[in-house]
Amino acid sequence: MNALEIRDLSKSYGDFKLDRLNLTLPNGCILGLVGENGAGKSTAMKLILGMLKKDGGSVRIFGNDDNASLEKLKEDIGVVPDEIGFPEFITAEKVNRIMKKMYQNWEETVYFDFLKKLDIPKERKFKEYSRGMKMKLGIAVALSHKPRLLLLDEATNGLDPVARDQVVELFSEFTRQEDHAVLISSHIVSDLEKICDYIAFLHKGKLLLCEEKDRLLEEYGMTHCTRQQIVELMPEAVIGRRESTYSVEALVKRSMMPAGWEVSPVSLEELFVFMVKAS
Amino acid sequence: MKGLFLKDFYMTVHYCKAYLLLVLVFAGASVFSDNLFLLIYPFILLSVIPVNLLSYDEKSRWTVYADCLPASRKKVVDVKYIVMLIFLAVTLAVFSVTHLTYSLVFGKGDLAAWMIMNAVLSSIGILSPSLMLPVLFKYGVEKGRMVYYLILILICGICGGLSANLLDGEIVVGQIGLWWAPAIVVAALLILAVSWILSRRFYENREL
Repeated sequence: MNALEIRDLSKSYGDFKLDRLNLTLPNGCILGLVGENGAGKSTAMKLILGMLKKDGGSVRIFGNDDNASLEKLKEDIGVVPDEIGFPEFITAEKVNRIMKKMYQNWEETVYFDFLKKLDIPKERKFKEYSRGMKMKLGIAVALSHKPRLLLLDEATNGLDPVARDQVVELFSEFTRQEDHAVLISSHIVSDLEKICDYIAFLHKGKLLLCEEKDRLLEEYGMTHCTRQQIVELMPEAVIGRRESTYSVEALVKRSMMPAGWEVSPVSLEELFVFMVKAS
Repeated sequence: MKGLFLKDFYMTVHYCKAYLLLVLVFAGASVFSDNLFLLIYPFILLSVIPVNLLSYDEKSRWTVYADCLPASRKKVVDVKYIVMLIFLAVTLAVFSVTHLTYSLVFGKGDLAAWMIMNAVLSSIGILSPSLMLPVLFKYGVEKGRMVYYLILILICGICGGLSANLLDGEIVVGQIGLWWAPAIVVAALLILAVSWILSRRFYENREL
């Protein structure tokens, strides 16, 4: 079963348009939504959660249609928005009391374990937290009510490299249960590369691609050659190129490369940058 | 809903202590003075409670975060109205106890006049937030601030008119009768009901 199915999801405001977004997130998987600032990642998240009214399309969560009560579904969804919003005087201890009344499946001991694991002080006021601490508190809340789906909007932003690694590991652990799934958006592509099963590239409100990460990395590669050499290739083989005075660095489709050409592995970040420039 | 209540309880304890102190001071002072401002002001100021709570919610980005939690927008609206009504009940109770105590101790005061006064005060307490909250739920505190001030001026004008003409309870009871005390409360409750429904509808359609 799919945790999330998005079909032709559209939304316009001002000069921005999210244009017929299609995504499928199977259970047990992590889907990474990569895009530059303003690409539409947060808009997509807000549309999934019903915070924005969609212009068209549909969102199915755990197989439930659009009309299902989002209030009930949110019991099973852990959300980390791009900014965690608690009143400034609230402590992590008080957050526990509030969430205990908010979620039917709230697990106090799990929450306090996460606070300990993530080094979040229980008695300090929210306004005294660093941005990273605020995000970690949001992550602890999102993971402490037996969620089946995690929606993470730039959840690793503001975290130091050690905390980011720790948090990314937590998300990875979360999907070890078959009926769990994660949709994570970020522009820190290296984080997504570590944990994602599927990758979707979003650029100016349009989906450039959505593929299995491993297949994507197998399909594309980087080649370094001269300007003369690059014209020998089929135009369809070259997705994008970066030219300097003496050489060309090009993103290519491995299957279309002639024998004898050296093609090196491509990182997701390079792949994204080349594809955005080519689009 | 209980979670939203608890969060707003923490917020009122943190941010609204000054209002409760003001109620106590004004209730005490109003017993020894004929100045109607002392009676009316805390009830006008009542609208500040939900407005402040909404303002702090927006500032801390709780408004958006709450939408990620299993709490419908209807419930978010309901909690603000209920908190406002609790504050109204507390304010009325403080004033009533103070004035009744004064009547018992000094043998002064008129029960009918006080009932009229209670009706007017509770109606003022209901009217001002009822007019403001739908605007704030529709446009947010920042955009709705101008309308908020306009309504505050309007309410102050109404209260000025009332204090000049109607708030002498003994005259009103003699001339019109006691019946209009419940009538004015019913009218205020009707406005409250319409306001509540509008706020729910506006907030459910608002994009955060």
